[in-house]
Amino acid sequence: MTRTDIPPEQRRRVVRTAWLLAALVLFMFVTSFPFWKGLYQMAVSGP
Amino acid sequence: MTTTTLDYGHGHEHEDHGPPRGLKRWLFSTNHKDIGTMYLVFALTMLFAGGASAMLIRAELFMPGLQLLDPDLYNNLVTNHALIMIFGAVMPAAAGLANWMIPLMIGAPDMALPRMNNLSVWILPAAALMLLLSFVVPFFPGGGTQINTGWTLYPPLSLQVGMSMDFLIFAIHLLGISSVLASINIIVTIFNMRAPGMRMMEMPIFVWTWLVTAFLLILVVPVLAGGVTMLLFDRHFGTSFFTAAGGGDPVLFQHLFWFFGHPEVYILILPSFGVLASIIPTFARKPLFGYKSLVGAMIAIMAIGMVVWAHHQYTVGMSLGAVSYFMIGTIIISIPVGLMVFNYMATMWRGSMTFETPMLFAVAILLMFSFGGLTGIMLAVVPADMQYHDSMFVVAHFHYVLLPGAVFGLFAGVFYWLPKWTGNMYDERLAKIFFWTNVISFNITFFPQHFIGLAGMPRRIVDYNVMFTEFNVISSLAAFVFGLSHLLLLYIIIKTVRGGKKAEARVWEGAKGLEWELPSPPPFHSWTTAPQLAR
Repeated sequence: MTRTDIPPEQRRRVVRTAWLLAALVLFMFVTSFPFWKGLYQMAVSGP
Repeated sequence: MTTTTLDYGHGHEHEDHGPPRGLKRWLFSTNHKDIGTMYLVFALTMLFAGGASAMLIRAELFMPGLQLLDPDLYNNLVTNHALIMIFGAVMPAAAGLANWMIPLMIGAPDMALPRMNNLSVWILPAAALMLLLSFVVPFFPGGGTQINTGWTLYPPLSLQVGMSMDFLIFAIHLLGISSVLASINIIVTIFNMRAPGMRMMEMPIFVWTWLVTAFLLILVVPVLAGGVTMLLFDRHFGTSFFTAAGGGDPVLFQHLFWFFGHPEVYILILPSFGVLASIIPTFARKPLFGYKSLVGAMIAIMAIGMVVWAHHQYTVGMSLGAVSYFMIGTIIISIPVGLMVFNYMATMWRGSMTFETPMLFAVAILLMFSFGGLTGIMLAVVPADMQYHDSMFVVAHFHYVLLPGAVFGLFAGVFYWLPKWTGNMYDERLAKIFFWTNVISFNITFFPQHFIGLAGMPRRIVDYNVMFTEFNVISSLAAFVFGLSHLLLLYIIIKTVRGGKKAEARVWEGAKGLEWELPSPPPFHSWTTAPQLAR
């Protein structure tokens, strides 16, 4: 089985979903730097 | 069930190709079955590597005082044991089952992105080499100090360790990349490659567990990658994310680590719970109880599991509001987890049960995992955890969660599907001997650790007070039996691969699902004609 065996429409859907998920991964990676630091500060600055 | 041929102008059936020969078959493989096999072989190898380190740890703890290992080497082994078992054994084994079974279960000819699948699996040996180097580099001249942080890699200690920590960080990056690529592949396959007419709510629960697991992985692994990248920058590029002297805060790393680390527990457990959802209805000869509630429970576990991470760090000094929130959230998560356990019990209720090895493991898992869950509730309670934290009680707790919840579930899956994969039945008598030896020695190893933990024995310390000697002797002796019992597992697997009684297509009388429509072993290219689901 290789990619060429997938019908073109299905192949487009597969690649589109993969890129969307890759964007989500990148988002989580990048935001782990400043965003979680802010959340942590919220957690430690409570009453 | 009937089938229909979908012709895309290829001219001939894929079965005509057959598997490529020699090393090329494995190096360049894009076949989900071969890649699944490679994942499983890799995981088994790492299981023995991680097991060897566990045996050394237990040998050292056999008696009080220093026996075999110096304190740094002991902590190095503790670190490596955890990392090898989690990233090297359990996760790749679960990915192996996913690769083998998801396409067969959903009627797909292969994974959606076969070449990426090859990349995911072949990153693993490189990562394992990095992990090994992180262990051995300190023994060479100029190699720096050993990694004595434990798998949590907390700074400031992890900032002071020698170059072996850099090898470890790169190993974690590689393992993370492999996991993320595999997860993307699994999600894309489940979304886009199901047989025509198979709705999401008709997928086997094993496929659902992997969908949830894959989403968890792509949400939390990048945060771990961010954390260790910041660690690397603090070590070499003058940043101060975690360095107090530069205005940073080491506790921030703990939050980043456990934002990954806690969902990781569910990442390890959920695929095994998916295996149970296949096994229990088969051997109870009843449909799975509460399909929709199981799917809902898994989604709840994913959502709640991502926001309760700081229960691993109560003692670090958070605000009262924060610890109260994390305590309540942690206790709430026992509801969907308990629901899954009760659904499995309800499936067994008044079923015509037989106890072949996979079912024996399933029943044992429900009992032992529930016990681990019970001590988990004890640890979730803040004032109690202040006493239990970093004691052997915690070691006993998470081994009761992770061995039955993850490892035994994978063993059950291997016994359940091995006849399908190889076309040969395994030796049931030997498998039952393995089961009983494995489960009894596991309990004798870890049950006493609750008592010595409650009595005050700390974990991650090479020496201990003489008052803990008896329970440690018992624990170590049973651990050696437990470790050696896995040689029997290896023997059973090799024996089954080499031959045995021929397995039918539907290996188990009560088994239902698309994977059992294919012959055992399935052809090299399966579901080249999409199955038509009976309505």
